Amino acid sequence: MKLVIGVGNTLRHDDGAGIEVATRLKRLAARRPDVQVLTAMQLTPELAEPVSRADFVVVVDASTLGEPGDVMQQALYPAGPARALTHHVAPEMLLTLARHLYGHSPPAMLITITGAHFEAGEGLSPVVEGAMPEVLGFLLRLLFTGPLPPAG
Amino acid sequence: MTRTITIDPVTRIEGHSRITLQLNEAGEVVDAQFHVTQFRGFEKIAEGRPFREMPSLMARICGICPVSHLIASAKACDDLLAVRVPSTAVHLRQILNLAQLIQSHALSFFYLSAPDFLLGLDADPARRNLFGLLEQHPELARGGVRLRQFGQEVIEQLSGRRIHPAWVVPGGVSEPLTADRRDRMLAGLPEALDCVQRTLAWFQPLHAQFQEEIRAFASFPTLFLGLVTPQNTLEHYDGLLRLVDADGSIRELAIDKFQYGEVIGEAVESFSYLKSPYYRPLGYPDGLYRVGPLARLNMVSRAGTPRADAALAEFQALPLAERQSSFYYHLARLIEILYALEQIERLLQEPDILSPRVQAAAAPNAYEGVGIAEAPRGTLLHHYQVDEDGLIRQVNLIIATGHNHLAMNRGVLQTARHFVRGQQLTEGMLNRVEAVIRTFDPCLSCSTHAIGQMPLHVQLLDAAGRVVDEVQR
Repeated sequence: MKLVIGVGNTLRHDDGAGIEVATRLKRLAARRPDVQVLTAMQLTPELAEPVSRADFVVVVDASTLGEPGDVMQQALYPAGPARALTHHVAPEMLLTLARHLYGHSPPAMLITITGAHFEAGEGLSPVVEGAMPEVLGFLLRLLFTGPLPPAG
Repeated sequence: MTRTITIDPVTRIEGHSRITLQLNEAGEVVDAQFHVTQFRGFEKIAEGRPFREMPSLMARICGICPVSHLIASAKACDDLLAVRVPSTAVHLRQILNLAQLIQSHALSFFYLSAPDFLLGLDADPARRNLFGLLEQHPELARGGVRLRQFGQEVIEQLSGRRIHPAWVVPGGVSEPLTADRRDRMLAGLPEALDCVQRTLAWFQPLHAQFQEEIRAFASFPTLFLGLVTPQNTLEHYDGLLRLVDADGSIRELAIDKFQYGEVIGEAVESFSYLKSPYYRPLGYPDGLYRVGPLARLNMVSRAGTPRADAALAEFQALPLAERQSSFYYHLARLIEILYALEQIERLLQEPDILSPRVQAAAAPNAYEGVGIAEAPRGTLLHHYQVDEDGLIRQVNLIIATGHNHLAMNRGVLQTARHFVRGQQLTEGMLNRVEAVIRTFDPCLSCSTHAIGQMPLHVQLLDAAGRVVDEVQR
């Protein structure tokens, strides 16, 4: 099973880009039982369990790095703990949790879309909306063609 | 030279706050204040909105306990409609509220506080977290994750969403429950029950190691406020709003919700955005009282379900003075999780639980509504007034953490006086001052971002405000 987790807050414009990607992907992959799509306002430790069951995980989130509309990707590897954890974890820590709690940490990737507007309000900015086809096209190729990246 | 110690921000709680400790020339703590430094303003935001928007709007107050606000808000709106909510909808709302309690208590116990119990209050803060917990006690960490997951799954099965569901509406709920969803929830119960009972068996004997904290963590007799059933058992959705003395004797048998202002005063202090409610007959600040799991357990004679009754009986066997310690909020959370799981099982087996009659429809028939429910952290009150068109004219909210404000302040002072010596600040000393706040599990931010990423910042200031020492982590 391939797991996609869209992260963000749709009430803060482009912060909801990850959720928007996941929502659209859900429709596109509706007939693919091997793909599970989740959305979350933030990554929480409970997600370690579905992560541990996946063969491959993609986290999609908004970013403030780079120019608005930039789409970036990076491999994720399990990492050490944050200094002061509460209920919110970084993607790398989620992989660590999956490995320690459930014995399996799958290969994983982070895709980010750089946002332009993060203030209160709904809807994506035109530049982030314009990046959606690129993100979805990349995700579809990643999920349905080619070999999986190596595990961390 | 007098000095001030500032703990800013307080970590592993929900929200933004800081603590200041005032020292005298001898380095002894003479005063302490718990400051809530964020302002939300939801009462003003709601003015002019149609009342039917209120449950969904109010749920946005919090990313951890949206269901609690949803329930209290919908109950206030039921008053505005002046309808009788169908019994199936009441049961479904009760299940949702209990699921919320499970996931919130699990977060507080396992993610935020258990690292202190397992790794020690003096442990390196870099290891004193969920990761340190899972390295040393993976089974316990897995149980905590599972319990939180179970609560969230029940919320999702009922309402379609784990966070900010819109399923609870004025007059009932928007969709009935289906058999397959009920069965999925029932299937998860045995494992969840096993997790909490295992944790209770591990945690109860551990109290022997924390005798000093039990004596010094907001450990004093107070009044307790909360909902109870007419049989004086646990009640989280409706029932009698009761106020009792420290020994359980009744001060207010059943407060009329429309007259709450005659019993509960709401003071405001310049050092905090959090209101300071107090019991009006005793005045401010003597009318200090506590709410939440410890208060609820100290109020009732029985829990109301078999396994929770047994666990509660063990707690009630403790000396009365010991049961006043806020350290026991942690144990109370586990007992309440046990109760909630048993109660969910009972409610899911109600004969009418799949009935399609889940909403009473009406136009607004009253100008005023008050909704009260027990949130994980204590009694939550939503009070609305509307105009002839059903637009909100005025809102008053008293959140659980507010009720506990005076007790938290007094608790910080007690703990700081016991553990803090100004000349030799240590990590464990500061962690204990934070830990007393954590016993109350305050929910201050109701936001969804960045909590826990901030370092603990302690400053020692002299009488002139100059920094004479500083500790960061």
